[in-house]
Amino acid sequence: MKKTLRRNLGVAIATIGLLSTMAVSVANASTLTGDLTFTSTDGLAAAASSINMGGSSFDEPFFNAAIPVYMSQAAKKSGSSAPTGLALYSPTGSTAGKKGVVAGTYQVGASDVPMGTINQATGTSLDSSIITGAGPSTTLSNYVQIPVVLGGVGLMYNLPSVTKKFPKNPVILNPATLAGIYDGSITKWNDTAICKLNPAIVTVKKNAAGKVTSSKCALPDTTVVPVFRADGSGTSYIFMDYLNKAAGTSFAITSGSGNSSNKPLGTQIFPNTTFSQGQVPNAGLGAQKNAGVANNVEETEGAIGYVEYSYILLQKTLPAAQIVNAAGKTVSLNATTIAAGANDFAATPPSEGTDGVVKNFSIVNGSGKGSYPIVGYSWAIVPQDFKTWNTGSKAAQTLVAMFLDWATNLSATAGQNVAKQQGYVPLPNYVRTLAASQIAQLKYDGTPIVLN
Amino acid sequence: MMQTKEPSFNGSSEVAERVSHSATSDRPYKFVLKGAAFFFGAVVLVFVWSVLQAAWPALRQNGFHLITGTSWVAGGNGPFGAFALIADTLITTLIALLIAVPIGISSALALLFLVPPKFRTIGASLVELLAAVPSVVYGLWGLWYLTPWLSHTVQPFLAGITGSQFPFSGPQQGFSLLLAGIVLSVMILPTIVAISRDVISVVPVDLIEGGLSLGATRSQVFTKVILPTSKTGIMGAIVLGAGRALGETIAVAMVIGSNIQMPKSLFSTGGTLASTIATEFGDASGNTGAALAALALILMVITASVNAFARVLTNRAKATA
Repeated sequence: MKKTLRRNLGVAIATIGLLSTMAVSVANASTLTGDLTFTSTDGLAAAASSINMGGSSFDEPFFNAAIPVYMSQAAKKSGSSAPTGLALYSPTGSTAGKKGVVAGTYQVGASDVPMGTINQATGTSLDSSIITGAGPSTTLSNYVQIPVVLGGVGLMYNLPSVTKKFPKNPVILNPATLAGIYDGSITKWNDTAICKLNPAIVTVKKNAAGKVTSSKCALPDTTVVPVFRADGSGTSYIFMDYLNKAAGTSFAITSGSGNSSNKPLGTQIFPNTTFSQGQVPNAGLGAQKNAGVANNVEETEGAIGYVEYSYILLQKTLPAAQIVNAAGKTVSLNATTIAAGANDFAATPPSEGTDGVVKNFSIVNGSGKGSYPIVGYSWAIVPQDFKTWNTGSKAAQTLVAMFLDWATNLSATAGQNVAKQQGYVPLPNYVRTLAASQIAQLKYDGTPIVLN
Repeated sequence: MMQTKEPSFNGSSEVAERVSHSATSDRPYKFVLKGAAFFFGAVVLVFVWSVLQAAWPALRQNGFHLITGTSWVAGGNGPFGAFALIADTLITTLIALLIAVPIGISSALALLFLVPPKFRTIGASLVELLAAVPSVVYGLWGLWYLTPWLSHTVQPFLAGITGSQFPFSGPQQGFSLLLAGIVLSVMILPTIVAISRDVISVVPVDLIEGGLSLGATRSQVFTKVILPTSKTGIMGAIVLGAGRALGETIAVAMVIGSNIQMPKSLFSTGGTLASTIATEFGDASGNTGAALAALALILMVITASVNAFARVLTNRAKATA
């Protein structure tokens, strides 16, 4: 968490940097998208304090950089009519984000897994236990789900000796070794399967003539400590979804405590928002939120954990593993490879059906040569009609719509540029089209919301 | 043995009578006092009732399995078996007591009898300082400073003693039941020191001087006079310490590793009842919320039993005294 402070400082510095570059670009851009126009009579500024946003910690670096930028940009455009009281985003986790919307405590809940996603193990909705009670929240089509960021899930690891000796060679892992680490069949870093993938990480011995006499895997005999999310997590879902698609049946409980009565040993693990007891090895460490995973990895030699790219990028202390993708190429985690990973699915863009189920949201294990395979969109989940949901005023809903419209906009002064600064990748155009049509679904008491 | 007289209302009916036969002007005062007492009782009842109500679906679904079951699958509809959580709670508390009780009582004795008077106030304020540190700070300290120390120094040393056999087997990653116990021991230490010091300080001086004048050594006076005289109070100190250790939440959640499993050694990671509630409540969907309420219920029962046990011990001590 001392690192989190450092990271937040990083966010603040990045934000200031961004603002200073914007000052220039605002002067150049004669027309903003109109999103930031507020009038003294629209009542939106007053509604700002009634809006609560929270959920996915995958999104935290984005939202908490974007919200202050939004308010300062709005103030630049509309002066004292602009909203100033928007609260920062609470990174309570994807499942908590969904629960917050159902309960009416969040006007915007964020999750890396859309509401209503089907659990492949049981064939029922992953959220059947979240959507409880009565009223509009029980009908899936009453939610509007808006993609807000595209990000990559990195595998950060703590092997100081290797990182020091081979700074240019981050450890390479493939789906089989990742699955092995997380189901407990690989317990040591110098496992032959990992060594085989890392021919560059070797100790070479030469004789007097300079001829290589032996080369030995230089990965240490350290226990692998897989760090996982102990709380409900969309990042867990993306990671499990990837292992499920890429490693298939080899991603199974082969060791661990194996005492889980409903999932016996050798059972394939289907994507879910939580790793259940017995699905992770006993040597594994549970942590809360992305920040907690990052922290536990930093404190534990031999640990490896999955976190959103921005947590690695802004923390700058530990490297991310390179991954062998579906095309058999080794790729490192960066904006280009994340964008390529998403772009492999351009022909089947995500969409929301009339039943409210978001289709094609999974974009893991892309087939391209330069694609980073563990990527995903994160979704803002908003009640479609604040009036029937009894979750806020018309002004509040209008402000939510305007904020999300700005957040998904590509212009230099808008949300997707903030996302870029934070280590996310701007949403592809076909996804922004979906975002726009979804925002247009918002209505108050049956009347569509009109943006200023 | 000399018995210090305790003020007791049922013992002195005279006083009680005089209090009840009060002037009319006292009526509002009595009304307020009685009201407060009833209110307090009502709050406790409502509290227990609401926890029971919240836990009911999980109790109905899992029954006895809730206590005996070894499989805890959160984030949905179970199954919820909290055996490992109960075991972890008791193990970490026991480790904490094993470390904190001897150190705490010794420090109390030292503070009272061995430390030069001018340092006593310093010692006392240090203890108060420890007691005033918020638990999250202990958690951070455990996470940042003790995890590396444990994994690099303590765990290899302990594993060396037993040849990596029970109870020091398994991965040496810092985060463990052992670490949680160590952090808890530091957290309950001020409670034990402060209360032990208070109860020892009221041991009549005559007794101590009598012992010394009969030719007893200092250590004999400690073990034969002071400790037996104050054991009821010291037991109280230990129970209060145990209560804090059983229920400590955030500091434990930060160092225990949150990987729920049947404990195999002191190096195992796991989760206590309280830390699991803290970790999982945010996304407690389906019956998980009810199961977490059931954990709270179990924790309440454990804490109440510890208190009851202490009361029995205290009464027995009084009877034999």
